[in-house]
Amino acid sequence: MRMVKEYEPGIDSFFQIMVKITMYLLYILTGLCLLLSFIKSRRKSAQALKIAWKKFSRLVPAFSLMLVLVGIALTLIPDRLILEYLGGRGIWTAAGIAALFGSITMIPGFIAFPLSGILHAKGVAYMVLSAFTTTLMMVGVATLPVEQAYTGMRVALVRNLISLVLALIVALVTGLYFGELW
Amino acid sequence: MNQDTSGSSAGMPGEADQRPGDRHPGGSGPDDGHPGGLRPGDKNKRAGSGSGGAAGRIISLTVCFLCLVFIAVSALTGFETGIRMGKNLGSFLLTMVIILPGAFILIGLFDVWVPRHIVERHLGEASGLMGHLWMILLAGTSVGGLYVAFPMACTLQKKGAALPVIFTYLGASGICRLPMTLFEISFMGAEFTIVRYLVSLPLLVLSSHIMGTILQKRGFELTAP
Repeated sequence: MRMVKEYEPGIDSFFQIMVKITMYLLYILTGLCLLLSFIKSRRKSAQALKIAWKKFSRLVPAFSLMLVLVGIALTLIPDRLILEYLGGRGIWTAAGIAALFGSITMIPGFIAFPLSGILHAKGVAYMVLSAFTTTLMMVGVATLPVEQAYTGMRVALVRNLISLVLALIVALVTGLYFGELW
Repeated sequence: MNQDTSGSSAGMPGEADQRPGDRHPGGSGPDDGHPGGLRPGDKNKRAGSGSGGAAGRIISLTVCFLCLVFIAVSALTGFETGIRMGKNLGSFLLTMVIILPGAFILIGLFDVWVPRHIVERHLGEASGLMGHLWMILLAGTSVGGLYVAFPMACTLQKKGAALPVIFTYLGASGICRLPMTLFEISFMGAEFTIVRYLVSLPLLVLSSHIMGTILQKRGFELTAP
């Protein structure tokens, strides 16, 4: 725990710089495109903005439900604790727990990866960390409200199940590659 | 989204200009997106799952309202878990509020300026493996998560992208976004990332192809909520 806390300021400033760069790029790009568009055709640009607004406003209900689910998940399952407890058990159990938490929670990558890096330095297997970060990226229980609004619940569930299987295969191969299974 | 859109925005207006008749007649403009997108979707068995409709919307908003009340009450009474939840929610919301407007404006511009025939040629049913590769590139340079990927996927589908390719886009937007990958490499090492990419991308394309082909045969379509 202490190690994590000492590391934190570095992560935060690194993250803030990354976020700022991404934001600047995004808005410079958006501004340029919008400007070009307005020069070409004012009517079409207005239409583009209208479409943007319509798509955005339709997303709001599902999106706010997702926000609440993420808020609850982040609160009830503090990310640092999960990762701290991954090391103690057998590799298969730990990988299973890691995959479960990775699917349920939505920890941003800028927190999950640095912590995983620290945990690996503390001896947690790559396979366990892979199960965690890969499910985190590919399987989203918290984003199901958003997803089912576009595809319906059945397709959303199937897609996430397939993603879960893929993530588990990735974790397994990672374990094999780093020689952690024999 | 960065390189991809900047590259195309330079070319697209010109393309659209050459074919002024492309989208105006017959109300085939971008505005018909939702009636055109909704009707086929309604034919699906989706209605049975009772999702995305007015009822779903009311339930979502009610849950959110209750949650806000809970946070407000915790703030007043000093209930620590509730306050922490409010903070978590707030910081997440802030990130989204910063990202979403830019991303959605780009989607709107894409919708208006990129002609259908280009999407159809590169991402349509005949696009094959190249279509999947384009989508992996597009997803890799995108910002935001699924909540940006899905509206974009709707637009792509409306313009003629095939379902298998769209599922690759959705999967890839989780797997290979560039900022995440940079984080992963710097903290977990390049080998970890390379193994992940080499295993997950071929499997993603394969599973998307199977799932997309089956669903396309059943007439499935994404619908804007």
